Amino acid sequence: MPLSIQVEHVAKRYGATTVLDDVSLTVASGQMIGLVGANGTGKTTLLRLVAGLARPTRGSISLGGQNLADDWAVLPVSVGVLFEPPGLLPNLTGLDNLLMLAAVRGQLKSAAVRGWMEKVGLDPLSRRRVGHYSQGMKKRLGLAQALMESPDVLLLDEPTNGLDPDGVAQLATWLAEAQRGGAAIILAGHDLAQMSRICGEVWRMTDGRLVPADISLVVPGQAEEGGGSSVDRGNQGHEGCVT
Amino acid sequence: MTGRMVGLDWRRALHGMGVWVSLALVVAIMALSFAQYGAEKVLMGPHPAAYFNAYQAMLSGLGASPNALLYLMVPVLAVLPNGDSLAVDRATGADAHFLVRAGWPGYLWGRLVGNSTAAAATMFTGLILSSVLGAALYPVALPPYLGSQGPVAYTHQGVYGREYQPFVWPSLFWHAPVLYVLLAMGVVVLATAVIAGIATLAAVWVRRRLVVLVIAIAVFLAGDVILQLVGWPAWIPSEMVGGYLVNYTHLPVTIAVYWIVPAGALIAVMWWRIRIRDWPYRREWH
Repeated sequence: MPLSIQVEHVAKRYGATTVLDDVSLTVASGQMIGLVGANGTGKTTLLRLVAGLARPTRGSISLGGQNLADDWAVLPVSVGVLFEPPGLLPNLTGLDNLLMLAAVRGQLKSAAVRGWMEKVGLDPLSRRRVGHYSQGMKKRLGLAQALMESPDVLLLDEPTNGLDPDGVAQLATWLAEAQRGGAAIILAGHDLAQMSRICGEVWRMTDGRLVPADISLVVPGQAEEGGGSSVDRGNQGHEGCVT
Repeated sequence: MTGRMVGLDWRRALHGMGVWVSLALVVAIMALSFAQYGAEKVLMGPHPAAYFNAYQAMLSGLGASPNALLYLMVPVLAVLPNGDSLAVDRATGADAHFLVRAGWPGYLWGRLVGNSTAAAATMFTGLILSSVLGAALYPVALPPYLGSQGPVAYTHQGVYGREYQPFVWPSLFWHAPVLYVLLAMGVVVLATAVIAGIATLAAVWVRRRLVVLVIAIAVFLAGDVILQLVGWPAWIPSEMVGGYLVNYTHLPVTIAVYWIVPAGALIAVMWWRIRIRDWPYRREWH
């Protein structure tokens, strides 16, 4: 299975602050892993580095076999990202936000973009500006931004924040679809139980370092909290998640 | 990819109100200037130089008078169309979506060129509309040429009842007034583009729209201060149409201060940002 994401001995420092310290990680095509950790442990920084939004102080990151330290104009593989906040333009409608992004790569036609609006439960005909969206609607639109072009690499930071239980279940389904399509996926969040339900391989970020998370610590039944049975239904569709 | 991002920037500008507000302001400011110009005609009464025409009306509004409101408003008019788009992207986190799709060079060059051209196009459109208004209000003809006084005599006479300095290339004004006015408009449009670019550049460090605007105004006025410190006061766009510029030797300095230095700094900083492919540090990232 080809390695889509390869992170080798990466460190990131901002002045005297070490955010990441000797982090190594590989994610193959069709694999999904989770990162958990408290605030400020470096999860978002790691995702930003993998997305090419920042440069590591040390170490190397490769996407699709190409080192991001090399000169590049456009990322070697298509990447979809979701950060917190989701990165929406508040004075545009939801559909205009998606159309604007889709126009950059020029892969998706307008009808497909409208389809994604409906898929995430938003009305493509609504003239409501994103600035007036609820938190959950923003998150759904943010997920559409990340997922709509079926990217080779998906990097989602706290994707379940603000989502209702049905939304979490739908997210699991969409991620399973992306996984089956060969996407390499990294999810970051705080909730070990939820993360272990969505993806079998979970790592913990602690003080800028990456260690395997002990899923056995998850109290049986905790996994159902908040998500309920709908989450389990969502998981049934992506047994390949557990690597 | 840069071209695609420029197109997107224009599309985004047209989605917002800024373009239309800026356009309306340009026309309103020029209309106000025309009204002042007309009032001057009444005040001056019979006077050999009191031949008012559409060309001089336009030049007065464009900055031939040191107190031209349009000149003072250039930073606001430049930032309004889309000059703050990079700041908005960075404040909302939308930059990440664009960067993973367009890459750093495509995104940053696209923003810089897109914002600058959107602002310039808005200003140009406003000035063209204003010139139509000016042509409707005043005669589109120059006064008769009097060889004994020379062509400069007419262009010396003040717009608001006082004399102002000779125009640069006064003979051009007399032989090709339309071209002369277009050149003067070009200077204002160029100033608008550079200031919009500076606002875009400021957004690399700041993410508040108001701060971006304040920086643009500060840089704009700093140009004047620098010129006055070295003894060559020249206001944009007066270096072309009169103002304080009294001879050609000052023109290279003016051009260097207003165009080459800011444009060079813009390109250098953007190029460096693209090389390092990283934003200045934000604490909340980790």
